[in-house]
Amino acid sequence: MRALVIVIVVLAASRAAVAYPQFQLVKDQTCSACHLSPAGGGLLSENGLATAETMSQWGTAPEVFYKKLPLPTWLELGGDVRGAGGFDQSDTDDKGFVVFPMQADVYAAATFGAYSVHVTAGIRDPQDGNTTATLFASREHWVQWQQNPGETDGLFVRLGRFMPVFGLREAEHPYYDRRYGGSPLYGETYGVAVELVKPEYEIHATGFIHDPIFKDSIERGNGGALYAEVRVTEKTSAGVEAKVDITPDDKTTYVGVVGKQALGGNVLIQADVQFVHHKIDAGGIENQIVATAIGSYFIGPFMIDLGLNDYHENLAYKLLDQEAVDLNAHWFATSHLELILTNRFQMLAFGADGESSGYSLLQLHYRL
Amino acid sequence: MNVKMWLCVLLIAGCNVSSDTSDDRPQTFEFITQAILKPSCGTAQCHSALKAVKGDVFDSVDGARTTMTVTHTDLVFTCEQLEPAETFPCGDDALNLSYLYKVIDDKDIEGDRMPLDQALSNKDIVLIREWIRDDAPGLN
Repeated sequence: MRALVIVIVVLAASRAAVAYPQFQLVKDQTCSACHLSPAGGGLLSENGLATAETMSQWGTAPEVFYKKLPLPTWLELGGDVRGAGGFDQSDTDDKGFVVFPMQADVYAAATFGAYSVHVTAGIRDPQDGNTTATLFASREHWVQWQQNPGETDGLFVRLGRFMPVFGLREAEHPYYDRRYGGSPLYGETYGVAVELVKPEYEIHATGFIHDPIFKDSIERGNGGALYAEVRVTEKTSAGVEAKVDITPDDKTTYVGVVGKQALGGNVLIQADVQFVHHKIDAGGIENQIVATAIGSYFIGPFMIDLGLNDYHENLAYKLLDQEAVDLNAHWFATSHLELILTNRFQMLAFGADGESSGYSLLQLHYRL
Repeated sequence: MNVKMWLCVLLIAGCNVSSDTSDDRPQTFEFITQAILKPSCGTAQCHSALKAVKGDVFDSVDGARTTMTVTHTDLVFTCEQLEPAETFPCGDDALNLSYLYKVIDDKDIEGDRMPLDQALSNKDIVLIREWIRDDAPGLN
């Protein structure tokens, strides 16, 4: 039964259309250098496709359907399919093997000069008892204006549904800066973003509202997010971030710093530390710390990530902290196929407040 | 300089900066929902309005109230809900019947402790226990 419960629970653990921030500074300067979106994620640009090919073990044509599907020049298509299986343990008595699907999304972008339309649609874990109405969803759909059509930098304006730019934006949503921070899984919502991307710096300002109709998002509030990052050198970047999220029940303010440091051509260290002020309208205030640091090592077609996570639920009290260590090994077998061994060890108060948990999962990722 | 900067970031993040071992956080339904149930149970793939596993929603005060008073009334018992109804205080009678406490403290009927990915801290479990013992203020 436990396995079934986990299968059901993790079915929805799909990944948002985010990229690998591990590549920034090591492979290129900006997310938009490899992605069509100024925030990164989703469809790859020509440069991104070339990167996918060159860093993979066996190459293969990186274009959608191996370039066997003729497409008009104004249309880009893509997609991601993921599934995973392995061992999961939440405490001494609850452990077992699990297998589950994670993601089945297709992406489309139609570009007409300075304007483009972007859509991400696919299958999501449906709401219990409401499968028919909630099985298919479009997490992202936006209209974009770009100052420099065909270029990777300049001014961008997006209007529609997307994830407000905040934090490192890892593909791995269990990292605490996403899990407990300002960019949770299924945090896409409606908004408008003004984004300036240059090789030396980038600024993203987003105003957002919750989805009042479909309610197909974890975001329940209205607010704004600001993310600014400066490339101090070609190998170093530093950023600041802020987000305010107001729901009918509470107000959450995030303020944080982000840093990335490439060491040589094959190591990247990045960190995201967020201070969170949570004011509950009915009474009560929490001040929290959410932090994630990731060290990534690139060797041939492999990327090894060591992640450290800390979440302090309420800084005024002891024994309300939680830590996790992640060790993920990515093997880019072909331009389209990726195998990931993902492992986590998680503790309450460094193991002083109860049983620890963890998992070891093998994930298969196919990019269309 | 850069390596030192990142080390500092890591150290700050790892520090236990808390100062107090007692717990005077509000024992109210709203606080427990927003501070404990929402981040730990109301995640996208579990008991959010988006997924609503088994119909339970814990990512908002309204959702949690509906869950506890309409969808699954066995999650939290007050003294008045006992059969026969009792007046407050009713000792541990309400607590012993409350499935919410049972499932976070030990196991549910299927043998799973919640949340599945990581147990709640003992301090959070105790806060919920004392809230139920206090007749679940704010729930009804």
